[in-house]
Amino acid sequence: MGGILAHSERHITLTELQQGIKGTLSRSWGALLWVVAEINDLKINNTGHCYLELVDRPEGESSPTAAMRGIIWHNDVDDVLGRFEGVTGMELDAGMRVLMQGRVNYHEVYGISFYIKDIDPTYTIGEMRRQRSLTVERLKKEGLYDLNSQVEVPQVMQRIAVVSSAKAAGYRDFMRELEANEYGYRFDVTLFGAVMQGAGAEASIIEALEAIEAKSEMFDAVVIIRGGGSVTDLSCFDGYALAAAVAGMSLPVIAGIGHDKDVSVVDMVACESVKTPTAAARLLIDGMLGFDRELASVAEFLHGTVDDAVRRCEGQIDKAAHTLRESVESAIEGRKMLLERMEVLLEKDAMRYIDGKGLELKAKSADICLAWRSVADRCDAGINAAYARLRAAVYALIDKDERKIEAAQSTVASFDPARIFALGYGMVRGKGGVLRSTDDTAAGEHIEITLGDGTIEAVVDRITKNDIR
Amino acid sequence: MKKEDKLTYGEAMEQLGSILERLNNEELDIDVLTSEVKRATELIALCRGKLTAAKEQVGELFKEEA
Repeated sequence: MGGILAHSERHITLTELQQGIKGTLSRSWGALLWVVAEINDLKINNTGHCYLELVDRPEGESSPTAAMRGIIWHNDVDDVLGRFEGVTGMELDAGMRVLMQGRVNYHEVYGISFYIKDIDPTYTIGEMRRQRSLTVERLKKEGLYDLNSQVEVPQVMQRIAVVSSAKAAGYRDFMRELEANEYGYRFDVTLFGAVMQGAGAEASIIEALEAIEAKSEMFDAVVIIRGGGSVTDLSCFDGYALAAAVAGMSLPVIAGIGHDKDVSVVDMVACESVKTPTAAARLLIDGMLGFDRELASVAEFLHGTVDDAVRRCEGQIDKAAHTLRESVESAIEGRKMLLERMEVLLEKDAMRYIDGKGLELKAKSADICLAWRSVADRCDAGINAAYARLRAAVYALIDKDERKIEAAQSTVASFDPARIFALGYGMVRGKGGVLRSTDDTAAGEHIEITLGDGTIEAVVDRITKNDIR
Repeated sequence: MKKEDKLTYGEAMEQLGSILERLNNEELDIDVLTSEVKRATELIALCRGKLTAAKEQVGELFKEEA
């Protein structure tokens, strides 16, 4: 308990402590000092005071090794910032290393601050140059520095990817120049919007470049156009990351950043660098114009050459045609003669063959003829003989029957009673029938004598016998 | 006479032959003889006619063939 009491008797108030610290600081660090630091953040509040976050950060590190608040009082802001901008051409901004004159102040409530009375712009310029040369050195060491310069630049760059801010005056200038070109060339411009100044500019531009690279086949070139305006803040175009991104583009990059004095690192690594956005547009137009003129001259040359060539070819063709005709004609003539000769030979051959066959045929046909004739003769003779025999036989048959009939007729005629009676013969019948002998009757008997026209009844008177018996 | 017309030449010749045989070998009564001679004369005429026709026909045939 006593301890606590003893402590309580020996305490000081916070005010006393802060006042103590303030006094000590003031004694040791109260003088005006020149301090070098990086501005990590900067803002001017509505009262017009400028508050800065000052840090010390080793090269390439993100964590500061020291930090302190800096303040430029309202009264000094215009003076300090205006001078800085007037000399460097840049607004004081985060990321800058600055040499400041001021004094340390300790406030019992707000703590420690550095009251900035002045900033030496030349230091920042030098520092930026140093930074820039370091960046350039690094880019060269890494082989990035010349990379985009080695990209083949198409003579005609028509499909253009623009990295800019849509509202930027430079972009408008660029577009006006392109669209108003006196030759009537047409360009296909695609805008990749980006923040072109201030702390976020570098990352924004890199993002736009990456978007373009992703569809690089759709473009012939990239044009980076700075936002414009009166203040020329080029610091982001000296940053390593942006320079590396530009250098690594597969498309040629035209830097139309716009500046009067120094050249930025982006300008150095870009394939082409021009001073203004308008100049960037001219570059594209001139490329097209050059190509156009080249085309025209090539066309002219071609025209002449082609005319010559055509004339020459015509001559050659005529000659060739003539030669061809002659050779064809002579070839045809040759063939014709050959054919004719062959025709004659063939005809002879054929005739010989036919003659041979004809003779054979003739001999054969004579043979056949002879054979046939002998056969026919034989047949004919046989037939004739048979015919004659038949004829003879038939007539003989008829003759025989004729003779038979003649004989029969004469026989019949000899038996015809009328004829017999006409000759004077008569038939005598007795009681025993027809008398064939005198012995068949006797004197005194009745007999009947039949003549042709009637019958005589008589009586036998006397019978006289013939002596021939 | 109708009946005789229908005789063939062969039949007629046969009948004629038999009549001739009878004439030669038999003593015929005058009446029979007369009718036989008459018949034979008819047959002769018939046969002669047929034979003459046949001869003409044959003559035609041979003439054509020649």
